[in-house]
Amino acid sequence: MTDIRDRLRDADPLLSDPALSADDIAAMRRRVLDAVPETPHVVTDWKRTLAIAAAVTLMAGAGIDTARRASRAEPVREPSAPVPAATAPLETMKTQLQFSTPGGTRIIWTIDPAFHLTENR
Amino acid sequence: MSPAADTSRPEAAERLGRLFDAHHNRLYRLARRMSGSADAARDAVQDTFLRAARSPHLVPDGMPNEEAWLVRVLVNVCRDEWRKRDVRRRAAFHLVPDHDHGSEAALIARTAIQQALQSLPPRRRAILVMYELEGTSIPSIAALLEIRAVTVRWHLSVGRAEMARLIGRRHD
Repeated sequence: MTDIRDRLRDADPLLSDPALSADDIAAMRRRVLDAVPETPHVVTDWKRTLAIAAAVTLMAGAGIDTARRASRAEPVREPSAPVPAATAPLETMKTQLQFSTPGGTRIIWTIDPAFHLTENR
Repeated sequence: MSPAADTSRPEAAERLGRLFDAHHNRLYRLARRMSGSADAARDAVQDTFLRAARSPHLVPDGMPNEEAWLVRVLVNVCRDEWRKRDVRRRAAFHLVPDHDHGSEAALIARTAIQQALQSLPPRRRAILVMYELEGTSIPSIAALLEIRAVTVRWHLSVGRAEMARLIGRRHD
């Protein structure tokens, strides 16, 4: 497209209007410098800000999640009344032994400590 | 490309002064080729530096980075202006007198070329100007405008076709 390039070069406005005048430049420079704000923008370290924001969000999320889980959990059971200590003497207490056979029969043995096998011959 | 560190007002003004001195001529040349008049080009350059003045922290450090930033802002300024004046400019393009003789014909032809160029979207116009008139390479244009080289090539292709169509229509 040399034709377009040639035409553009023929019509280049810089051929007749090459640069700003010194007065224009000075005036523009003055206006630009006057526009600098009195209190330049405070630049914050965006990485640090982002990290802090992420940490705060994470902590808040974790707190909310914990609170939700706690409210959904089963109510805490009150400890049952303490089992009264056995008052009977140890030798009179009967002990049970329960078990099931592979066939499903449930067997309960009661062991009586007072039982004494007497020898009758 | 990291933004410049925070500065006090005198430091910001000093930096901006250096920025202005280093880049105003280059920006004016680009703006003049993209704009319809010297006044419009001057306004565009001034708006570009005013944006830098209001937000000095946005201007990156280093010569190539700050130049690229300023060129992008200039193209954006031209785009804002182009949107505002779009309808008027398109109408004006068709109002160019169609005489075809002597030096007046040459003037009209140049005007037609300039108006055809100004009818392109600003980014495409900037790419065409930088490549065809300033001789900037495609990778350099891509780096300046922060776009891909293939996008620059596409804009060049479409821009040339649009220019040819617009200029051809004027001569039909």
